[in-house]
Amino acid sequence: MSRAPILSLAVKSLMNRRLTVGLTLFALAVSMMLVLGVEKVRGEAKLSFANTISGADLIVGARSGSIQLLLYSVFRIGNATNNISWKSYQQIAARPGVAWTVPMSLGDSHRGFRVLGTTGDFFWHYRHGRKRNLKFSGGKPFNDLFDAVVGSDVAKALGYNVGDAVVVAHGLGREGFKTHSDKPFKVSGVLAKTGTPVDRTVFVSLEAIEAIHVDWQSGSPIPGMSIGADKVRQMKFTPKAITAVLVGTKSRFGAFGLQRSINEFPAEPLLAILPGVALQELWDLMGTAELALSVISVFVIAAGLLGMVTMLLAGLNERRRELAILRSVGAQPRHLFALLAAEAGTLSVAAAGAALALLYGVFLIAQPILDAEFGLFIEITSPSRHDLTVLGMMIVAGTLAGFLPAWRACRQALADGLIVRT
Amino acid sequence: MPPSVVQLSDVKFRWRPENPLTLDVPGFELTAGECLFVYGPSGSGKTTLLNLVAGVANPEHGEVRVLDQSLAQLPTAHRDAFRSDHIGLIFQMFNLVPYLSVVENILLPCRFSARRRDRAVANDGSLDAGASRLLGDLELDFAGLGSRTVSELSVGQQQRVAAARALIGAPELIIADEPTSSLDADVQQAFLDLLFNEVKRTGAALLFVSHDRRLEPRFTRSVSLTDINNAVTPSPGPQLSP
Ligand SMILES: Nc1ncnc2c1ncn2[C@@H]1O[C@H](COP(=O)(O)OP(=O)(O)OP(=O)(O)O)[C@@H](O)[C@H]1O
Ligand SMILES: [Mg+2]
Repeated sequence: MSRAPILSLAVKSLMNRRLTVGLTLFALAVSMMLVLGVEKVRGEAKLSFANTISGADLIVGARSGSIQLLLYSVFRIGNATNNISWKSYQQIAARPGVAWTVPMSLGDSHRGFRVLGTTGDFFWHYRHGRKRNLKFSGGKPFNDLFDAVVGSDVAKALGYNVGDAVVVAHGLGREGFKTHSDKPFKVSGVLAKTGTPVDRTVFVSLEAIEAIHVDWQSGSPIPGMSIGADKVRQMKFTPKAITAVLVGTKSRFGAFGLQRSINEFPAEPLLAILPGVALQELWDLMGTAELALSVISVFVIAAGLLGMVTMLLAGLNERRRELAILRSVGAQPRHLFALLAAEAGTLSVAAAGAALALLYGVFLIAQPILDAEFGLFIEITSPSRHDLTVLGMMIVAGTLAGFLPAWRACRQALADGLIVRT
Repeated sequence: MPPSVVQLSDVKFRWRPENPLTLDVPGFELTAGECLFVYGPSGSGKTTLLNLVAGVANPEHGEVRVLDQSLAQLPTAHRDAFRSDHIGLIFQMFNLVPYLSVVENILLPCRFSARRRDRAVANDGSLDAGASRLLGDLELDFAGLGSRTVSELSVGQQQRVAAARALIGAPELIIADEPTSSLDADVQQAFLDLLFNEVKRTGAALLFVSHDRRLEPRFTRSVSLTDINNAVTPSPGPQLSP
């Protein structure tokens, strides 16, 4: 006898027990969906993280740890211990292998968001994700000394539109009581969402950072000295120091040589890092979290499969007669084994299908929330090969789990003989 | 002398190694075309005997031959296939698979036996035609019942469907284990009439066990299991209707 008739028996037998089978299927589908969802989010998070900054070949800062440099220059977490002098910056920019540089100056904040002083080149050279450019959802890069560009989270959180005024606080205090209120900025552009720290940044020109501090000294306004915005506009600013530099090289290979020579910079101790490598290091630091997720996934799927095995095992006792009847019409033990295994397999396949449907349903609902709350943009695509592999493995695991009730069914049927008395 | 369909010689059987012998049958025979009635009190081993003849249980000693084939010489899988090819079984009750329709239940042996399938098709043109004819012969309405689920049938109807399943594809041996004991007296007689007719039509041998000796006169021959079984069975106690 071929397998197909056994499969049709299995399907009919499952349909006959709709309620218990349905509930088991639902539980299994939910656990499969959780595993797929966790996998997907993990993959997207890793991808989005690894590509936080994909345009620059090197990041240069004062000598510290590479992770620390990455954290403050890219993620705006923590602070630079030291600055790079403007002179050193100019020397680096003039190196033969260097294609472009973008200086960055950090230190001020605006209502909880970091302010980054940079040049207009930043908007051109910064890449994220799959080499995506920054896009303006409104307005344009800064032009005037007191122009500011805000990231999408900033615009959303503070309700900023092009043309609105921005007062920058000195230092990083949320309620910066020392504000640069005498020199308000105007929003010239709003960036589109990127899912990177750019979203949470206020961009001004490098000169503006110098300008707002022109009448300050060691962190406080110089008493009795207040220079108005219009007057400042007439002044010429050259920064004395910056926090970090993004460097693009003419060739990938050149990046390594340049990195080495910057690390041995004679004038001051500097550190150059390859952002991809440092991002990977940082991600690996979180490896245990990733492992924990995998372990949780395994337990989740094990719980789902256990539920199914329990259902099938519990059903066997009620089905002793049915199995004896099948024996009496010529079913061999291997047919009974196949029947139970096919039931487990059918349930697993059905659960896998339901899991995919649930997953897409959940992602359709969760996508805007994940994007808005965590800057994690989950692309809704057809199931990847990875998804299908994971699903396939869960189906195989489900069918294998069915071997236990299948084996029990055979043993029970052989012990019972033709007549089951109850 | 007609050919032998079932032959037991010096068969000893017990369900568990620690149990006493349930059956110790020096000799027992059923020949082609015979309708044999085997009776014995509850617990005397009637169903056990049928398990041996159907090749579901194996004797620890002696030989069971069916259609001149020694069952012990067949590997288990072949024994199961042999059963589906040559033997039709009817039980006392709960004969049917609950999740299959009436027709699917009747055609169940044809799923496991190509021989039964081919014979049914050769006899009636198609499997459905075979099922339909048998239902008609057993005075059941194919159009009305064929696609119904079996739980909607009366017990008498269920037993007739079980008989149709045993008969489909014309196996050489029909084994019936008290198929009428859950039926009313008049339904019992009607059921036996139909069963005898069909058995006669296909020329199959019928091995029928029951504790109810009122049925005995209708059979060509009858045997008391306690007479042919040397094993000391536990005292039967008060006769219980199952
Ligand atoms: N599957 C089994 N496993 C263990 N012991 C069994 C099994 N089937 C029957 N027995 C034992 O074998 C003995 C004979 O039982 P059997 O079912 O053959 O009697 P019976 O004559 O068919 O009785 P009844 O008229 O009540 O159906 C009994 O003692 C019973 O307990
Ligand atoms: Mg019995």
